[in-house]
Amino acid sequence: MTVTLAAGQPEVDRRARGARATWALLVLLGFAALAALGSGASGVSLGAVLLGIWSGEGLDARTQLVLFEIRLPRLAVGMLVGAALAVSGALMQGLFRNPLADPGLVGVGAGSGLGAVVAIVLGGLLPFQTPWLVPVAAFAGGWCATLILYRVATRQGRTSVAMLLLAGIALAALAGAITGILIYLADDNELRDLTFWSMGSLAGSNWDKAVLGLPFILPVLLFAPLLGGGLNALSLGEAAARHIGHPVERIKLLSVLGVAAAVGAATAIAGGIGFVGIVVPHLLRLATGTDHTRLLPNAAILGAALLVGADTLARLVVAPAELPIGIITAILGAPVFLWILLRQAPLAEA
Amino acid sequence: MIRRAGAVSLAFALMAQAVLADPSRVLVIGGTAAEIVAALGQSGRLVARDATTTFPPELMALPDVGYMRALSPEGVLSTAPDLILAEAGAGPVEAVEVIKASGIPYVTVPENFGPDAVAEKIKVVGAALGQSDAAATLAAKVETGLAEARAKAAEVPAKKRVLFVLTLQGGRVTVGGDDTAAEAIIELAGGVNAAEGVSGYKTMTDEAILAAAPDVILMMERAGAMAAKPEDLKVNPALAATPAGQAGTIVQMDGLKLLGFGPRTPEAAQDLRRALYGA
Amino acid sequence: MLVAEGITVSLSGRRVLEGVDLTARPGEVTAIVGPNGSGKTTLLKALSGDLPMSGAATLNGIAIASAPVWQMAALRAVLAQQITVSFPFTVLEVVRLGLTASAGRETDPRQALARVGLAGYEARPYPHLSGGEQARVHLARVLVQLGAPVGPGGPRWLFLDEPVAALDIGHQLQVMQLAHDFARAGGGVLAVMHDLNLTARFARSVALLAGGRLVAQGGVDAVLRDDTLSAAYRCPIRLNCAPESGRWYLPQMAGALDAH
Repeated sequence: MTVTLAAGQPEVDRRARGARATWALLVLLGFAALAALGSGASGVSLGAVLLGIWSGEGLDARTQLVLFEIRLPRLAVGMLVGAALAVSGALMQGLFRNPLADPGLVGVGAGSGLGAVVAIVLGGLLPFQTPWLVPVAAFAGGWCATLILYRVATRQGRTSVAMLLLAGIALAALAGAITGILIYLADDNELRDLTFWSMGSLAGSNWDKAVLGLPFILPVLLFAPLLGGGLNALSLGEAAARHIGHPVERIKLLSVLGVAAAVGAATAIAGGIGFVGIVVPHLLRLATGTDHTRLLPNAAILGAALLVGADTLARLVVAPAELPIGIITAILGAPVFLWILLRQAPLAEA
Repeated sequence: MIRRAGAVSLAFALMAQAVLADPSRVLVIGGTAAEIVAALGQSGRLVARDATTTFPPELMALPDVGYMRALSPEGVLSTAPDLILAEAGAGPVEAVEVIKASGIPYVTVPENFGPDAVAEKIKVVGAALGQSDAAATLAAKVETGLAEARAKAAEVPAKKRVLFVLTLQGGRVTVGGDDTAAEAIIELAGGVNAAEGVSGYKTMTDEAILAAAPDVILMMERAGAMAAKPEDLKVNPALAATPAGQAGTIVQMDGLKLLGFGPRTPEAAQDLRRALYGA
Repeated sequence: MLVAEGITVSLSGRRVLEGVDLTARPGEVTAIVGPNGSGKTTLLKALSGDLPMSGAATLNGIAIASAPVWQMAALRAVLAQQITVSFPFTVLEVVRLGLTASAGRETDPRQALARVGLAGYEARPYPHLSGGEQARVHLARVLVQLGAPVGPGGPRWLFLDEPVAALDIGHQLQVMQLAHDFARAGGGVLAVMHDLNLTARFARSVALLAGGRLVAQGGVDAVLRDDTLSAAYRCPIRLNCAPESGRWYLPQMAGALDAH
């Protein structure tokens, strides 16, 4: 009896650790948000802002602009995008039963990339011009690709994950080829736009983009943890998950649709940002275990904090210019990822 | 939130209007616009520049707000300009919108290479800086230079075929085709663009390069080890087999001067003509 | 009561099961035996709802093919032959996966682990366990899923696919005893078995398959006979008797073993 209790202790610890991690991550996100709001090339500091409000003098117009029209919407977009990418990564890894899976596997990346290229290159032919064209086209492209893939991979009501993977590769190749044709047609300026879009940036963030992303990303963040139990069971394989009583087909459909919505919207408003979707869930699995009901909300918080932090760096390093955030996430993400892999190697062999 | 942006920008517009008459802190975005500011003798007013600004060299000492198509709104505002002179290609659109919402006067300098383009750019910059007279003088001088270049170009008896090569990466040859600044400057220097029929800057196939039969390869200058050497043409067999490749005739010029279509364009045309025909 | 009639399954155009009738009663262990490729696992999978099949199969009167997954999960648990766990869960986390079913929460996961001889293994990473330990973790998981052998919907069922394949002889007996106890308490057990000796010892009813067809079903004495087994396995098999353990089966190798 004593043996059982003593041995059971670490398990209790592990679940409690997951809950504690949520609070710790929220604090981390708070700090990242304050740092993002309080730093920037213009030198407007949080202290000055608070002093202005507290002393009743209010804020001058420039401070207001920097705070409310530049930093705050950028913070909002950064949090949405970071959370969307990290949660989507965790969903995909659960669905594909592979810690290296990413949303690219269900065609969102290829589809939204194609959508963006079409908009950038052929947008000039439209009778009207709008800055919404690229985000909307990227989002639509991501959705179309995912739906096509899902249809292809579904036979007799059951979706083959392997089929999803293979068809995804074919679809990505096709989208890549069409993108190539369009790139050939593109002029010099369009090419440069494409390059910057593919590196991803939060530089174009404004309230409109935050409002565009919110209805697609927030529901996914809130409802993804409900899929956690099903994804846990899926790690035993589809048949076993069904035997336990999980509606496997519905879990697959909801995961894929959620990822398409969240990643499609994130890509639409911030371009292609890599590594968040793989590094964040991986870090969390090491720290608090695999339980998806905890992993999914924690991934949202850590993803948001990480992207906001990376963006703050991107804004400060070469101020008044800024680096594309994709570069920062890759420079920070790739070594961390390698380190994780090296640390993990003995466990994988065991 | 959108309404708030409006209110803020209105407040800014009121403040900004007062200083518009004689801007003393100018942010310039775009290499050609910066050249014009300097040519008007107004570089003392510049507080910052973008990454494409490379001439005159002393401007390089100014803070850099980054590449003109990937501007950061806060970075731009942090230089506290009272006038922003930006070429038409500045972006991204959303960043430019926020910058404009700040109420800081924002003047767009056209970015083209037609016959009157240079004079037009100079006049826009001059008007924004309250230097319309000096601008008119400079524009007239440039116009004269261009007219001279055109006249000399017309006199060239046997026009050489010039292929502008943007990059030679991996043996793939990207050339300047129709409706490019490269074609415009080649014609202004009395040459013929060997890459007719290609639109914009495109990769050209080996057979098309052979058929284009350029007498001269024109490239942008790169510093030090990056500089193109005649041997480099050998990376592409088709290019090496052209008359230019056989003779090893490569002309290299500063990219901004060659393609910028600014105050230095008459000089660039003259330089290129001399390089092509020796006179 | 499990009643299956005319179960036919085709995999990529080939009939692997043809018109199999099977009845299993609660309160006893029903074994499915037969040579490799005879369709034992296919039959179990079809009855678990994993494969499209024709024919009629009901469990406690509920049609297996059309019942929602949650309803089946409350009624029966399936222990498959090979299960890979794709993330490094702890042992207790794997066992707790069984709790999500509606019938669960009657069996404490720690108690279930103790019953399969894995008390004290709760916090161990599942990937670090041996194959036999992993197999018993999954047995604990299905015990947790089912809870008590009899529930409000009638007897609950354990479907086991070669439950002792990865186990040493001591654990083989332990696992079979668990299955036997579950049946004795009113539950139903349907187990695919390779080991005829264990089958004879723990099962009361046996279904013998060969070539995708049911060769015989009935009591151990009626089915596990020299002639039926020898025909099904295409190998001379002889029943021996020993006073303590009842009986055991030995294949007859050409002459040599016959010398006694």
